[in-house]
Amino acid sequence: MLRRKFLKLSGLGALVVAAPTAGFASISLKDATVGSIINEFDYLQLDKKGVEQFVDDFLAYNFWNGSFKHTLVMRAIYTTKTKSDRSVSLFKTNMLKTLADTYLLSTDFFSNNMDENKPLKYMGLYSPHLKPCANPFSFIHYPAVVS
Amino acid sequence: MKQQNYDLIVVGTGFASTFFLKKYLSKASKSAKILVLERGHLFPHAERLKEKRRESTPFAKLNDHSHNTFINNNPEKIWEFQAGFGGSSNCWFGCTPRFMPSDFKMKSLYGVANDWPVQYDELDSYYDQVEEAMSISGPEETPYPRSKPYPQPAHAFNTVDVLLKKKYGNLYINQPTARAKVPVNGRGSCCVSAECSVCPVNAKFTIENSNLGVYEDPRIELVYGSQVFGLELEQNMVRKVNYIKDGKEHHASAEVFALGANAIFNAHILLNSGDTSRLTGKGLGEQYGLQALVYLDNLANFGGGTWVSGNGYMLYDGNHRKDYAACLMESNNAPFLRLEKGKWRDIASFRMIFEDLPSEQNYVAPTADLMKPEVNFKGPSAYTLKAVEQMKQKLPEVLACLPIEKIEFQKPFASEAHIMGTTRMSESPEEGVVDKHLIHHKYRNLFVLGSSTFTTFTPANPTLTLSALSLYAADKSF
Repeated sequence: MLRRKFLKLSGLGALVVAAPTAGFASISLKDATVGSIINEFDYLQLDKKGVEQFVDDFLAYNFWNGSFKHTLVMRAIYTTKTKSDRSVSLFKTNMLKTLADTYLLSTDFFSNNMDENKPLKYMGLYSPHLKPCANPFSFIHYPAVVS
Repeated sequence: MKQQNYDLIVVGTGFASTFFLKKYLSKASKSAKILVLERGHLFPHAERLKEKRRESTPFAKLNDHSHNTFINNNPEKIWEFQAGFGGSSNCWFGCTPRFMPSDFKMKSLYGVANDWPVQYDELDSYYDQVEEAMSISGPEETPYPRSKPYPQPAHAFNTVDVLLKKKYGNLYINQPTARAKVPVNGRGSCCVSAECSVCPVNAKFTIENSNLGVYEDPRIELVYGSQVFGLELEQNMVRKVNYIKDGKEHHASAEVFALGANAIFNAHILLNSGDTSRLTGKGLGEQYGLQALVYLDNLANFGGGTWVSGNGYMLYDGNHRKDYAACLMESNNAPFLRLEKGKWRDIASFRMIFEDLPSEQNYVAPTADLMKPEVNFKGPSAYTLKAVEQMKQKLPEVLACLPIEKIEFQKPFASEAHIMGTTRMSESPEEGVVDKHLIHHKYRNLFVLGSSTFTTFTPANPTLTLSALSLYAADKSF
């Protein structure tokens, strides 16, 4: 399925397009976080329910929820369509990188051998204390072999 | 308190105190009476896991948060530690390289700072004992001499480690670590969760899971919730220890005393007590570190067997230490993703750790609050900062065997979570606070333990060495 069609079907496209026209202050942390993930991974096939569930779990687990600074920065990341490799603000970069890394690690992306053409499925929040031994870089998943 | 008078009173239950007690108990009489005063409480690992999972636990608020225990006059500089039973064994990451023999001879080899009064050869067998007790995993060959193999086999290298090992031989090794490779003493096997402060599978050695039998020994009386704030000094001897428990002041006397708090509080207790040694409290410091991200051209980096799988010594030892500091490299396997299509794991992450030297402008001082010291830190030395600049120039050449696209250096960390140097070890009282057996130069029935006694701040992690020093001090003194 083409990415554009997939987004349209899942309703995510509307969210991305609507963002810049909506009032900055009215964007919720959840919407900004969901939209930022979609923007960051605009070349992957995401599913709306999965991304939303991830954001619910992520915000329930960390301290961003209720933080004025994080809400403000995440709104800025979302409305300006900032990407993790294209920001002059280290704080913004780190925040988005943390979010994007955690999202990807929470999906089946690595167990599907990083197949960029396969739709991503949310598997549960990545946290070593909730689910140990899931580091996709580790020897458990891929032994290091260099000739 | 069950007794009026003890043979030994020990302050703190971290690495330094515990290994000191382990050796002392092996030599003391069956009727020895030992009091251990711990300012905090036991916060069991299982309860710490609950806290990490955002579950409620009644243990979470028992111990003071470290940042509330002292006044930090430089908020940009963080000093990390944990109060409570087992001290910072509850939050360390378990990296245990030995020091290099040259680390003990900075003055005679490089004309910098001072030599340690104790040398590598004298500590070798005590290093072995600590490595055995912690079931350290490590490689067959190391850049420092060893008389025995490590108790556990090495953790696996990642892809980049393998290439660097091929290039540099024993200057690039699997990191020696207290993160178990093989399950032992109820500890699990490290599975690279990279959340070592509270290991999700309890693979890391802590005082709680140590199986050393120290605090179960019937000769020991362990009293929680007792914050020592001073010693009573009389005719160059310590007579009593003063502490607060349940809001009341208490005193206890003994023949011998040992301070095993950290480098902030060891110094604070001495200063509160009227210790007039010129260097008590002075020379506070630690290593200086930053992360280097190495973007790789079509080389996926994976397969590491533990959080840090490699230690690089290519920028560590040599004549450059006359001019600038040694640097130890750590190869990291935390899942740091490269967020670029098709290049997800084409990246390596190295922590570059630099030694530093004690400076009198960095110090601990007492305040009007008897329980709360202040910490003053101006910054790392020019010796260290020069090494950072040298490293940035040399790293591309050091890593030339890798297909590098670019290297990014991140902002230095606010802490390496090591606190050192406020009661430094020296040959003479003029140059330090304690002698080679960690006995105070002036108060001869007082041991001062831990990394507060370090003469210089090598880039290697301090825990193994401070534990070996505790064994050495107790073995040579009793």
